[in-house]
Amino acid sequence: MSRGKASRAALALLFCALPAHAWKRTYTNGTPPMCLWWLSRGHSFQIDAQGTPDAPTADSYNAIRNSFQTWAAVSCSDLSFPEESPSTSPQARLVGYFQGAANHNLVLWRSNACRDVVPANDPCLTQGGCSNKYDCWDSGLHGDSVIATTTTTARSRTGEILDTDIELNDAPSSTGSKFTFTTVDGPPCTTPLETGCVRIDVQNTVTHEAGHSLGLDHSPDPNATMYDSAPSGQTSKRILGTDDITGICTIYPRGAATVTCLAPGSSGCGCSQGQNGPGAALGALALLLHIRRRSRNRPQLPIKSSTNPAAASRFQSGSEN
Amino acid sequence: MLLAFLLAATLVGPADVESLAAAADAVVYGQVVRRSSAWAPGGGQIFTTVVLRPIETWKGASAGEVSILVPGGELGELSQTVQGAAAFSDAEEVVVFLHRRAPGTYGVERLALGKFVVGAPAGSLKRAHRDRRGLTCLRCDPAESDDLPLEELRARVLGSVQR
Repeated sequence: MSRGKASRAALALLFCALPAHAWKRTYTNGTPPMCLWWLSRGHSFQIDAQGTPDAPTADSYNAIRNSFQTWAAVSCSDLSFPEESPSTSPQARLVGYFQGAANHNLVLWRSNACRDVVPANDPCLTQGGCSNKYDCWDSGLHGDSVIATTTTTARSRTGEILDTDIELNDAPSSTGSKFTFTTVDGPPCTTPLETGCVRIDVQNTVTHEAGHSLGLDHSPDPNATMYDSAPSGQTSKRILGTDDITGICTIYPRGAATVTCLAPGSSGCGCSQGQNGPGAALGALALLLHIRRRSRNRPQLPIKSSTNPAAASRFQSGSEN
Repeated sequence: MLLAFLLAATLVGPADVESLAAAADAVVYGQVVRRSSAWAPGGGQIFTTVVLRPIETWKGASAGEVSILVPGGELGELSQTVQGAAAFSDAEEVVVFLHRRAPGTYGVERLALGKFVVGAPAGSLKRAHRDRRGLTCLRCDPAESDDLPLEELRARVLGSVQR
């Protein structure tokens, strides 16, 4: 980036004139709508030990770890995602926010279809909650074609995120087929029985979902991890795009306050006082320093399942079985 | 006050009108007459029941009212939202592609891709529009219609059902 461009970018951020970027934030639906953010820099996460039968346990765990580590590795931010010991309790496979209870930011696969395990007269079919009650993927609520959802709980008055859970659909569809999750590096699969190729890449999917868990919405930038479309067999979302990095460093600038905001149109410039404050200024400076250190095109190195030392060390010290 | 969000969903397409019509147990053009939210038994998640008064039923048996269960909603000081899932407003006119959960209760097929909002700019014919925000779609065709005349939507659904 030239000095002139850097200066213009700094001015744009410092004065809260942010519409030039593609990345977007997610907002509460309260009045006024507030953007979502973590008070802490990042959040802990917990992998449910059941995993998926589609991939070796260690590989799927590491794919999830790498997804969070990808966001933590952005140098102009200071996010971290400490890992809790994998959950081994069947009773803990609960999604949502439970007031007064210990909440965990859970990542889990649902391997049973609710249609197969929920009695036809169960009230959860009309009132909801079948997935938690019967530990199943509620295809009757989302449809068979949904691969993953992320549940995040936040305070509507401030947008502060309190909890986030990611569910992955490992259950058979009504036709008996199921999504196949892979963790390998390879080309997209082209035939049903092909092996050593990529189908639904765990790291690709969870990296995207983790971006949402941080308060990022979809980006119109096709090179961004937060882009809203993906071909089957895609792995490129494992690596953050420049737009993702710009977004996360603007919200969580290294060494500076997290930037909160109102939804565009809720105030004169679409930003809260907090977004005009010193946090935004320092964030802009941190972002500029970061951008100047990086090459122009998708500068972040991929973190492969088998080569991420941070993930590997955590796995070795963990208690997953 | 708390808000809970299902922030994102990833699904597999296609989600064109014909595919949706084929997959759905019912396709209803109707108007929202009431909504109510409640905690799921066991807590943790809020669900909203949306009651629709059908104007036309394009697939499935006709009924005086149709109940649709959607994840998320507001309840007292708490609110829960599923981004990517269909959300409904009071008195909203919609076309929904539904799958049956229980007698009289449905879910929306393929999250928000199974819901079109019907409206008409002043002096214009009614159009149907759907919102893909919050969704990541694998194998969706960029040419899939997200905004089309209501008459075209009706004709395509009925044509698909008759086939």
